[in-house]
Amino acid sequence: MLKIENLSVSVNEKKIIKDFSIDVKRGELHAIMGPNGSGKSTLSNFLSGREGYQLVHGKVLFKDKNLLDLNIDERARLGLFLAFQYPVELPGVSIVPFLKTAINSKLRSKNLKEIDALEFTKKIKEIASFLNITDEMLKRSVNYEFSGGEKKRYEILQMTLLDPDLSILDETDSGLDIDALKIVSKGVNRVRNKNNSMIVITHYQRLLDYIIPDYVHILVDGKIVKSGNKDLAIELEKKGYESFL
Amino acid sequence: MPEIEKLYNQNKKHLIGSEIPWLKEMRNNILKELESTGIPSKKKETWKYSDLKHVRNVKYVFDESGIKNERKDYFGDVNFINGKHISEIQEDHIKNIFIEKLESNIINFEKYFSINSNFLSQDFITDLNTIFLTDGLTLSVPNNVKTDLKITYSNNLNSISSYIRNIIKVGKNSEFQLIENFNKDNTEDNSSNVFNIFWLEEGAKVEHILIQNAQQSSKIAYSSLIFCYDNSDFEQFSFQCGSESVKNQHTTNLIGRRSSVKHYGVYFAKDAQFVDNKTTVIHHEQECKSNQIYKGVLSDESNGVYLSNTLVKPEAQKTEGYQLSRGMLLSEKSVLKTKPELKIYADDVKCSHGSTVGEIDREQLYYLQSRGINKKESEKLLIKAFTKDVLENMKNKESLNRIDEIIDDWLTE
Ligand SMILES: Nc1ncnc2c1ncn2[C@@H]1O[C@H](COP(=O)(O)OP(=O)(O)OP(=O)(O)O)[C@@H](O)[C@H]1O
Ligand SMILES: [Mg+2]
Repeated sequence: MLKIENLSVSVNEKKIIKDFSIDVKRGELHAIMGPNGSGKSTLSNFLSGREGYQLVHGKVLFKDKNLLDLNIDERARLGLFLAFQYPVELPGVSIVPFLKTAINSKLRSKNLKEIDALEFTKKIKEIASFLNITDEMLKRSVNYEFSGGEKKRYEILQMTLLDPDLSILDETDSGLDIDALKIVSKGVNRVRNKNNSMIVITHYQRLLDYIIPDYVHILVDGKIVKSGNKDLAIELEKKGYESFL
Repeated sequence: MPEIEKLYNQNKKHLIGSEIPWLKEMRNNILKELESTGIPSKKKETWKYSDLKHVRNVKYVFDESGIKNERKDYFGDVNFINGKHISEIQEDHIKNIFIEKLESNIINFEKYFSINSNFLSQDFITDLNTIFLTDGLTLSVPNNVKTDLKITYSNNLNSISSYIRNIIKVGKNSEFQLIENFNKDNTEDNSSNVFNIFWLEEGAKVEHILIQNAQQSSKIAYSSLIFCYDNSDFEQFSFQCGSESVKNQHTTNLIGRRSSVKHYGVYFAKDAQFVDNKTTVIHHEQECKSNQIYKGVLSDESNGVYLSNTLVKPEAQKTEGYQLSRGMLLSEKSVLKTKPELKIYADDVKCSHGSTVGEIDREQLYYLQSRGINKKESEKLLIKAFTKDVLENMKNKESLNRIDEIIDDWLTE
């Protein structure tokens, strides 16, 4: 699904991602853990196509295509989804038309016909209630004046609707209370299946109790310093990053 | 200036009210005044930022060959073609509103004509309107009714100049929606100068929607002068998208206690179009509220001007006044000049103003694109979002939908 080889990325001439490699296969869920400033968001933003990042060297293949040749929206339509650590507020952009435009953009790019209005409304309502998102919230502008937790749940709603092949979740658990954490995890597990892949970025082992990873990687200073299975997260929780530096 | 006088002398006999002594005198005074001050130029404070196209090339054309009584699909309840009112409806009442030709009633209207010399003194645009008047109506909404009216302005000949004045009186506790549409038609080089005077009696509520979506080669100058008595409420939406040059000015006098006004504006311009709006609110009395909120989207080499003014007279205690101008520039060559002014002579007032000019927010654009929406489509969503909070206050949903369609067309062109 996603194969990154020897990737180095810099921001403002400063190298942040250093010789990073990973191979995420179809059906796999990888967790990336790492201290503040280690480059987790930089990696996700870079993969999504955000401007301001320079490729130093390396290769990124997504569904056997050179991801870096595509622009932001092409990547998304190909099946990449990034749940943001800090979702942007869009005052005046109403949620429902926005979601409809997004899903129809994807359908059109696959030469499929646009979603039926009724079917769409039904689908949104169902996903929203699954994620404890009220109808009132669906009437508002995208992320505008949402609480931190609401923003995160709303990212999961979008992910569920767009049904991506690869989802990158950047600290979707941070700022969530314990009930919201359970809801979000439930939402992620609902989307997860043997045909798609996920990269879950988190600081806390706790999330991985609900979303069980196939692999855990520890990212320090732009490099993976250790990889393992879910036990690595437990070990990390006990020992802290110190021991991996 | 001699041209204006020449034009006047040549066409005197066609002008409305040419036989009325007070109007003749008023016109002569304006011409005399113009002779001593000269026509406006960039040196004059009020024209400093404005488009002088409205000053050069003043025209008056007498041609009634295009005036026919045929119903067009864009027609409203009351329609002007080539500057003349088409009276297809013989009744003098439309939807409860008493309507009369200004021409047949002008003799009684001296006070409404002298009004602009008191309230818009030496204003070139309304002075031209007084001199070259082609037509106009008096609309009178009785007390305690709820009604609405749609007026359209259009042309079916080229190079026509219209000078229209309407006097609109809204009776006590009545609710009135007035929609004015400047239509897009297949003509060239037309100019319109419309001047409407509104009187809101005690407790009257007016929603005034002005849609200026005329063809590219047209020039529009629109002036409104509003008087609000006690507890009355005037809400105006002014929307521009289309003409080569628009110059609007709206002046509200809050002369009754607890009266309020909202001047809302949304404008779009591209190519070398010029949109110039000015709003002024004068608080004469206590406990009045005013809002002046304009948002503009400019692309290519277009120009926008928005000047807002709040004047609080010494008697006007407990005033609340708010002014906001926001601009979105889609190109480096587009220019927006905005200037809020605030003059306060009372001590117990709450007034504020703000103004911002920016571009499409990159973070927001990125967010939308990251959801698979292409750049152009994402920009459209953000541009519409920018104007939404102003437009969504509009109660007349038909007009709101029409404006929405005009914006969609503008964004796809
Ligand atoms: N636009 C930028 N300009 C300069 N430095 C940047 C920029 N973006 C990121 N950085 C730097 O890159 C490093 C990695 O940042 P990044 O946001 O990727 O960390 P992170 O692992 O996501 O941290 P956190 O756990 O706090 O979210 C930091 O030192 C940060 O200051
Ligand atoms: Mg981060």
